[in-house]
Parts: sequence; structure tokens; C-alpha cells
Amino acid sequence: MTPKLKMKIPSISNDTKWILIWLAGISVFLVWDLIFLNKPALVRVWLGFGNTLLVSAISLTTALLLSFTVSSWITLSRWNERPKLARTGELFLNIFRSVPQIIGLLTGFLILTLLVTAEIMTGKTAILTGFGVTVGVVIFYEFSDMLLERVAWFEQTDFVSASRTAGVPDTHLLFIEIWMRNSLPHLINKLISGFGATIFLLCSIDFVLSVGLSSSVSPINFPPTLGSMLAQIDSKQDILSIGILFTDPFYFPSLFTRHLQGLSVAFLIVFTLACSFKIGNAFTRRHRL
Amino acid sequence: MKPLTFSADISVGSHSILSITDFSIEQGKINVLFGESGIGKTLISKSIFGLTDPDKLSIEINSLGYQEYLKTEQVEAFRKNGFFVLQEPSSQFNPSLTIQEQLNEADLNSDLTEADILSGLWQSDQWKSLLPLYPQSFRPSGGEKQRFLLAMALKKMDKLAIENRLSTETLFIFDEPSGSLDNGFRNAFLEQLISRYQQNRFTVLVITHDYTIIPWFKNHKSELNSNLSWLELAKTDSGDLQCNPFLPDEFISWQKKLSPMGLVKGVAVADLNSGVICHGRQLSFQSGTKPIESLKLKSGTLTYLKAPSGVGKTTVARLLLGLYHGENLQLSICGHEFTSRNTQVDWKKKIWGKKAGMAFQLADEALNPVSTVKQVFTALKNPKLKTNDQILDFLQPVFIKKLDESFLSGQVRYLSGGQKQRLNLMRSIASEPEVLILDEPLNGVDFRTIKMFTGILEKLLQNGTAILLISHNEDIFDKLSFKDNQIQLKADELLKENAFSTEKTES
Repeated sequence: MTPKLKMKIPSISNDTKWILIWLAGISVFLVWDLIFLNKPALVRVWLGFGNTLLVSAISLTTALLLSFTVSSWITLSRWNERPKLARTGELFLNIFRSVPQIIGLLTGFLILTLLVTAEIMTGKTAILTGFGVTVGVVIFYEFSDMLLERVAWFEQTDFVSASRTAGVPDTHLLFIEIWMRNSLPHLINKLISGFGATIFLLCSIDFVLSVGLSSSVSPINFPPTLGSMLAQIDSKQDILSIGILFTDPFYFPSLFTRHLQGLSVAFLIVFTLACSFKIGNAFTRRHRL
Repeated sequence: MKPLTFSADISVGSHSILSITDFSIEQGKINVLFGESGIGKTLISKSIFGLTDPDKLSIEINSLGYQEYLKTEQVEAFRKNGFFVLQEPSSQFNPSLTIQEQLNEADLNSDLTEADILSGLWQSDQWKSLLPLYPQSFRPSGGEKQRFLLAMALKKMDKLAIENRLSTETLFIFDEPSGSLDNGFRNAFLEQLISRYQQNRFTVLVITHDYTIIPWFKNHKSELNSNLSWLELAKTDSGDLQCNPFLPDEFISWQKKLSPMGLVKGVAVADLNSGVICHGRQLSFQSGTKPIESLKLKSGTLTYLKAPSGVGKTTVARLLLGLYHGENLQLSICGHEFTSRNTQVDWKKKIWGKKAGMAFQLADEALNPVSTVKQVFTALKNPKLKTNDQILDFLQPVFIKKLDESFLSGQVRYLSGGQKQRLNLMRSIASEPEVLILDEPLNGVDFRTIKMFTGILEKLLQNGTAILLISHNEDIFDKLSFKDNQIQLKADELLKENAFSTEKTES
């Protein structure tokens, strides 16, 4: 008898599955664009996508740095019975928390515009970094809240008291024991949602910018991002062309060849947001957060 | 009579949680099951009773898939004619029904009255004021909720007895029935349980860590000797579980041999004044019935702090270590003076990790579950405990099996309850403190660990450590400490706002 051969499919978690779906979807669209999209538009769309990812990375790094600084400042001040220092940190955090994100972002971009028009900030890398830092400053309090919640959770148990009285240094307890060893899944989950939030905020603000903040600054002389590409008249027309389907359903295949710029931008935004949502959800479930 | 025997395999994903081939409960007997915490006593009992969520775990009982097992007549009979009192009483109450309504809900709805049962369990009529309450997390207290649950089980026994359905096939499981109760209330419950058992033999499984239940049965219910089955759940070297008979006489003879440890009098290294106020309560100390000016901890001496649960024994420990702020505080510890004006920073600089240590009550909370055993000690930045060899040498005396580097690289969460408790204790003594506070050190440990623990205690006392012991385990620690060093804690309520704290209600 010949033994039955069983194909063993390696099991992957749902979050990994959605990361792969995202990468695959993006790759398929890239190949499609390479074949059907004209070169100037192709460069703009994919440069915009790359820039958006770069801004997200910078904003998440900024948010992480700021949140770790403020949260450790508050916690260590509290543990060392320095109430004034702790309250100052909380006040700093509350100021950022009290400003609606979109207002904070608009203000930040106004400052960026002023810097660009005054030619203090020049160069596309500097402007993109400015975008990233602005978004990071606006969303960092969410990371801080999560880090402080983790500390509060451990303070409710005997863990903090037992470790401190045993002689574990406060910085080790906070950074290594609580945040690194016990909060990594929470942090990654926050990074995933922060990534989605950054893209959403960036696209919203870039779209607003398309109205024009200054006569000498417009999305034309800002580096392209997905939001600014969406605001371009070509992209808007491409997206509006979807409406043709109501009167002429057979126009559908033409969308993917004649209106590719707008569709590519819209797809990259929506698909990335949808996938980051699914990745975040699956990750939350897997780690029971 | 043939025992109820179960085999069980429980896993989550590919990770096996529990595997046992011979979990046996003697029918028609009172089975008392010991074993260290986290070994799987509750999980296996809930699983055989049909109470585990089949969606969360992969369970096989008696070679049947769990869904199939749940449909068997046996499980149906357990549920219909039995009762399971859960370890955590709060989780068994419905917050949208009053206690009174829940005492008469579903199966318990009958002409029978629970008044006698409740009066017996409370030894007063204090329960009456609790009946109209909707259960909340803070009221009734843990001990009161536990007694209401026990009352439900006792009421169901009465109902089954009237209907002639109380037989050897009826199974009542009590998971840590005395976990939130002082010995007096525990004994009141046991009296009621046994009086019913003596009228109609049925099957009882009591899951407990409370080994002092053994001398109670021997001293008060010797006529039941042949109706008692003492069991212990233990892990084999392969990691499987085994349900072994436990020899009660071994515990009794060990307990008889206990004698006071350390010195009667030593040099005072810590002194906490009577009259200190914390959380709205004024704490004072008594030696016997005589009030004393302060709680003195002396080198080489075991001081046993006693009080009913909830009075504030742990508060005293936290005051000594500066974890709580005390008004009117006058504390001298290891040559350092502290008053209400001092902050935690002063304790941190002078005391923590240097002069005094504390093994907290719950090892599961005190230790980081995802740290490795080695990291527990390297985190202390103690120059004497840096290398693997140094840590292994330090830990070996409290572990029976030969420890190796794989033990050090294992995560704390994979240790058994007893191992965690020993690790918790060893961390608190790693800095060789002059004062050591042990808060309920026997919580969740098996008999083997208890014996080992008393050995460690003796060595520490010989080395001159002043030990403050907090434990409700009076049957053991009354014998291990000298009468003069047994201190009673009293608490006087100062603020009305605290009148409904769980501690107050319980005490």
C-alpha cells in the first residue's frame, strides 16, 4: 500500500495573512500601472505612495519618541514623589489631547507652509520630514495613553511594589519589565492603528491643502503624496468617471485603462486603510488585547 | 463502590495544558483534593462537571470529544443533581438579581427556607441585611459571597434529600470553599456539610490548599475516617498529572513535631508605633490581650502578626516598607528613622533592596510572568547574582530536583504555583535583608513546599534575619512562633466613608 501523501500547509496567523494580501494587492496594482499607466503619472502616483509611507514612518517614529519621553517622565516623577514634575508632564499631554487632531494638523501644516514660503525649509526631504513630525506630534498622545494605561494596570497589582521593594531599579522596571516584556503586542497594535491614522490624516490634510494655503505654496511645489495626488484635477476626473457606469455599465473595463491615475490613488488609499484595519483587528484577536 | 474515574487531555492549540489518565473520585465519600496552585485542579474538575467553555480549549474526557462528553447522561446528572461552588465567588452571582432572588432561583426555588443555613454560616443574623442587595464587586464582601454560594449548595442538598434524589451518584464540588473564610466560618460550613452527609451519603469533592482541614477532621469528625478520601494532584517528570492518595497522618505527625523557631528575644531592628493611621483606620498592636506601644521586629526572631482577614495585616507590612503613607507614623527600621513626612524616595534610597525585603502574597502578581528565571535575579543588579552559576547555587537549596541552565532560561509563567512562590521568596531574600516580611507565604503551595518553606525560615532565622510573618494559617504558625512574638493587630475605624469597605464587612 502506498501511504497517502498529505500536503501540509503552514498555518499563518490572520494578521500575517492580511499583510501578505496587502503586499500582493499593491504588487498587482504596480504591475498593472507599469503596463497601462503613462510614465509621468506612474512616477507621480508611486512616488506619492512612497512619500506617504515615508511620512507615516517618520510620524510613527516621532510619536514613539515623544510618547516614551512624556510617559516615562510622568511615571518616574510619580514613582519618585515629584508631583509637580508629574503634573507638568500630564499638562503637556493634556494640551495635545485637548486639540482636535485635524486642527492640530492644519496648524502644523500652516507653520510648514510659512516656513516653505519664507524659504527657511527647502528640499523635499525636509518638507516630508516636516509632514511626518507634524502628524507624529498630533497623534503621539494616543501612544502615551496606551503606555500609561499599561503602567496603571501593573500598578493595580503587586507587581510594581514587589519589584521596587526587591531592588529592581525604576528605569529597568518601567522600560524593560513593563513596556518591553509586557506591552510589546499593545505597542505593535498601536503602531498598526497609528499607521492607518497617519495615512487617513495625511490624505485629509493634503486634500484640504489642494484648496490652497498660499499663492506661492500649493500641492504642486509640495512633494507628492497620495492625498495631494487625489486632489489633482486629473485624479478627481478619473474618480468621477466611475459615475459613467450608472448610464453605461460596459464602460467598466475602460476605467482600468483610461482613468488609471485617479483609480490607482484611490485604490492605494482605500486598500491600505482597509488592510491596516484588518491587520490591526486580527492582531488584537491573536494577542487577546 | 466503583470510583468515578476520568482521563482528560486539555490543550490550547498545539500546547498541552493538562493530561491525566487516572483522576478518580470515590463515590459516596468526601474527597479532599490537594495540590499546588496552577496544577490544574480547578480546570479538570470544571471540565468533568461540564463547565469549561468548549470554544476556548480543546478537551477530551474519557476519550470523548468535549461536545460529545457534554451530551452524556453522566454530565446531565451532575448538572441536574449536583452543584459546583466556584473558587471566585463573584463570578457565580448575577448582578441584576438580589441575593434573596438568587437564593431561590431555578432549582433552588422550593418551600424550603435558607434561614437556618445562613444563620449557621454567619453564626449571627447579620446575613439578613445582605439579602436585598444586588451583588457588586465590593459588597457583599468576598467572604459573604462565598457563604451565600455555600448556602445555595447546602439548600440544594436539602431539596434533593426531600425528593430522595440525594445519593452516592450526586456530586457536589467545592472549589476552595474556605479561600475567603476564617477558620471559624470554614468550620461552620464543614459542620453543616457533614450533618447532611451523615443523613444521606453523597459524593463530595473539596478542592483546597488548606491542609489544616486534616487535623480538624481528625479531631472533630474521627467517625468519618472511612468516608474520607485524601487525594493529591501532582506532576510527573514527564509533565503529566497524577492523582495520588495523600497520607493525612504524614501532615499530622509533621504538624505535631513543629516547635517555635529562632530566638525568643533579639535586638530590635524595626519598630513601628501603635496608633499609626492608614486609610482611615488607626492600627494598634497587642501582645495577648495587653496593648503594646509598638510592633518590634528583632533579629533572629519570628514575629507572627495575627488578625481576622481584612483588618490590615498587609497594610502594616506596606507601612513598614513605605508603600503606604501613614499618619502619626514613628518607624525605625535598620537604623533609619521614618515619620509621616518621609516620602517613598527615602525608603527607596535606604531600605528597598538593601535592608528589608518582602515576599508578596501573590507570586503570580509579584513576578513578571514573561521574564525568565534568570532575568528575575539579573534585574536586581545584585553583584552576587550575575552569572548562571551564582543564581543556580542560590536557588538550588529550595528546589528538590537538580537545577540546570534550562531552568534559568524558562519563563516564570511556565513554573508551577509552588515554584513561583519559592522564586518570589528567594527574590525577596536575594539582597540578604535584615528585615524580611512574608505575606501569606503558604498561599497555593503543596505540602512538600510547606515543609521546604519551614526549612528556609529556620535558616534565615539562624542567620539573624528579623522575620515578620503574616498568615491566616494559625494552625501552623502558632506552633512555629513563640507566644511572646505573636502579636494581635487591632484596627479602629476613624472615617465613616470606609464603613462599607470589603475588609470591614468581612472582619
